Amino acid sequence: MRDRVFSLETEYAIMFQSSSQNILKNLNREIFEALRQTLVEQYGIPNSSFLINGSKFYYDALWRSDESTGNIEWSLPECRTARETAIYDNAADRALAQAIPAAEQHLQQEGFVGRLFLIKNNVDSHGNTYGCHENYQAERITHWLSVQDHLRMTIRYLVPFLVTRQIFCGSGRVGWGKTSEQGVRFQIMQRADFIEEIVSKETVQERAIVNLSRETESLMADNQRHRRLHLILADSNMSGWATHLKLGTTGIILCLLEELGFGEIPHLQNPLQALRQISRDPTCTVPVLLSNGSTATAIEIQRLYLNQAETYFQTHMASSEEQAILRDWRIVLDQLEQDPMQLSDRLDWVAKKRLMDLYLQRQGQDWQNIPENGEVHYKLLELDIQYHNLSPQTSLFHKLLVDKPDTLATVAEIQQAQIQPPPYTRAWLRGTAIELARNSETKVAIDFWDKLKIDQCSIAIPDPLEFYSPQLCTLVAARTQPSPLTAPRDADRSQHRIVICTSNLVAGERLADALIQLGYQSVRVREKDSGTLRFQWNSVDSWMMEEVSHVLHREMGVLATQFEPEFSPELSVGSISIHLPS
Amino acid sequence: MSSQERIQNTTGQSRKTWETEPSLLNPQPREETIAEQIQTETQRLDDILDDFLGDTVVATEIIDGTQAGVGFVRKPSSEEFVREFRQPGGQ
Repeated sequence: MRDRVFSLETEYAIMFQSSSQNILKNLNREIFEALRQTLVEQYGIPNSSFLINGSKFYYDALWRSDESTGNIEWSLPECRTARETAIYDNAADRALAQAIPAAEQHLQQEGFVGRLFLIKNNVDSHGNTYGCHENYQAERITHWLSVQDHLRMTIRYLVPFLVTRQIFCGSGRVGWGKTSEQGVRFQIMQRADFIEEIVSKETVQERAIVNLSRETESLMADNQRHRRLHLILADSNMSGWATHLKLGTTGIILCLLEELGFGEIPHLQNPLQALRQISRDPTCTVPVLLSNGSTATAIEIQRLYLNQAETYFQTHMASSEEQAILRDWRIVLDQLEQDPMQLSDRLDWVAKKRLMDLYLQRQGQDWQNIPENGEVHYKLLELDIQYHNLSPQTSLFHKLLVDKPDTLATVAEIQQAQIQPPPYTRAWLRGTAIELARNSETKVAIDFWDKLKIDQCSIAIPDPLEFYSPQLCTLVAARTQPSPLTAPRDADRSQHRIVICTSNLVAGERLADALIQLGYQSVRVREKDSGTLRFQWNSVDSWMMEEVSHVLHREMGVLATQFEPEFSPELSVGSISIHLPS
Repeated sequence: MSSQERIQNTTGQSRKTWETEPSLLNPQPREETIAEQIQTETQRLDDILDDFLGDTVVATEIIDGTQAGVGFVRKPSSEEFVREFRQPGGQ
């Protein structure tokens, strides 16, 4: 995958069912504080919205004069790939779900006894919507076009793609129209009826297919060259597989735009009308009108994009993730064409519709004739909401997909993402600072994404792709105890051969000397044209990693937690890589 | 047998059949496995829907300083639940 920052911001819906009276209203602020207290205890530090994995959990009040009317929002840390983002999204859901019991106890101490629900959807039945915003770092300047022309081309090519990609990333909804006023029917996309413009800068009203509200912000240190593409139209996904495909395909489209990799893609005659037409057709066969007078289905339009992406990657090297995304993209289009229900184990709207179809079948009804405000209507609406419940005990998503093989990530990977930031963005620096504060008396203040403060020392981290800070390492090393040497008394270091690859030969020699003093007899330093320091060895013992970590910490101020060993027992050779200043 | 046990048992049988099936001499087991999988999945969906439609009372733990107990919250009807699920609206 091309170097790019990906991220998501999700607004979660809240519902509190009181044991004394049914459901109290206007408790959003109190519920947020109860959740925040729990999350800070587990992952955070007082007086900061940021958590140890680099995420931000905060309260987004709509009106400053009324604190009760706000949403709880979780912004993921800066991630490097679509897959990483999808895993951190799952980790956020998991952390929030796990926080609910303790938050209920905190609320109880405040006098509010009851049951808390967190719902990751995008609509209620009263005409309100809330979002799941995507963020992509994108090129502002290319070698080929002016800034304005590149922006125009981006909008031109993005619109048909974004209108049609809902067939694999929609979450499904009961009701046509903002309040179901156009019928009790199923549609693919929750937000389709709330998107009212093709391009706009608004997010609370006049929401658009392509949002330009963050164009002046940057996800890069150099905002002349890079821009922040902020998309607000999509649904929240429960399925990590769908999140991965949503972000991954969009990332590939951005890559083709930046490299002028596109051929002809047809205009939609009326993109907003097409958005709703496609959303209201779960068979994925409805033709939408193109500007040249012909028609095409959403699947056909997506195939145009996929074919051009595959053509592009015939002459450009695709990463393993890009290959996986292209493969899944083709599979999903093929299966949608054959029978969308084949995807009920991966796509949210299909999984949800399948259960609703079963319910209607039991009731002897079909989607054409459901009486409005009748029992069946309300049952479908409740089922629609409960699909998105975060609590595994009550979530229909969890019940539907929990036994299915998750091809995206293991539970261990998601658990890891709850407590560790992505390793190759500035989120790592943020997480390191929070870990320092949690494990020592050090005062750490983090109020912004691009800076942090340790005691009285401010550290700027303007570049989201930067994951090493010598200043931070020095501060951390001075405030922590290195891990003790744990090599056994009879440890035989003579059998280990170590090669240190680095562009900084002085640092490499210093490390080699330190290791030789410990008893390693074969330590070589090899010059390498990279800012990364790399250890290679023929074999490794469990104590050896800690010992090398200790030396690194002592000599370079690099903490052991700042790298992950990559050891392959099959090959009897392994290595670790550490980014160091040249 | 609970629905969870039934799922695990049936899944186990399917996997076993799949492992021993790849034989050109006897292609029949594959069809049985697919049919069995469909039946298992249908049963699983039925169970999930039954659970969803069946819950009427929700237990919630109450801890009040030194006292602990279990309180019961009446599950609202679907209409009540949907009407009360009102969000402030966001971005």
